[in-house]
Amino acid sequence: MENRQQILDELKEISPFLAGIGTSTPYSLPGGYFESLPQAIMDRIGTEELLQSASANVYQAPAGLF
Amino acid sequence: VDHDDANDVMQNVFIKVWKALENFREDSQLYTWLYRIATNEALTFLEQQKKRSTVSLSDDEDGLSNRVKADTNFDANRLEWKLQVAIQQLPEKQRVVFNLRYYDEMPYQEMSRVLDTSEGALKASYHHAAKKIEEFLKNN
Repeated sequence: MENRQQILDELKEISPFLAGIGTSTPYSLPGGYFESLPQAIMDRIGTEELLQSASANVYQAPAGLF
Repeated sequence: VDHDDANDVMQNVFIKVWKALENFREDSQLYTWLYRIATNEALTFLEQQKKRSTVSLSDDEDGLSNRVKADTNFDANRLEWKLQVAIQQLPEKQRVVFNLRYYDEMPYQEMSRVLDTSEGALKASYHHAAKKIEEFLKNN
């Protein structure tokens, strides 16, 4: 990443007021969010793959039908 | 945009990454590629929300600001929240550029690859965005 100071100096030139505010965001995450995220994503991928394979097989004609 | 929305977008990003990993070209940095997918996914989500919304397109920025204000932790007296409201007033491109530069400290060269925009145009967008935010914060 570019040097934080360079970005701050750039902002000071554009808006000294804004440069003095600080860059923390007020948003927060539920506890343990990132710990459970990988499993949640893998579960969704598993479900999607299962649905895909199921829908691919549903309309398969029995062998020798035609 | 609440936590559930952000969570959906986040999961969609990583599912797309997982599915497209074998097509990842190593001539671009993984980080640039991830940002590109995440930015597109976030903008697509907002576009879908806009289409579903009954408010007119001109109210879009106000709609986003109202969503920030609807956050259960919103505190109108805290400068960090005021800044979030100000950012939501920006046009989409300026909003993205400002967030990538101000919060993520992204160099213009990288941002240029993520957003397919010239560095000069990105610098101009950032300049306009910062000026608009300053004006908004001083008047509100």
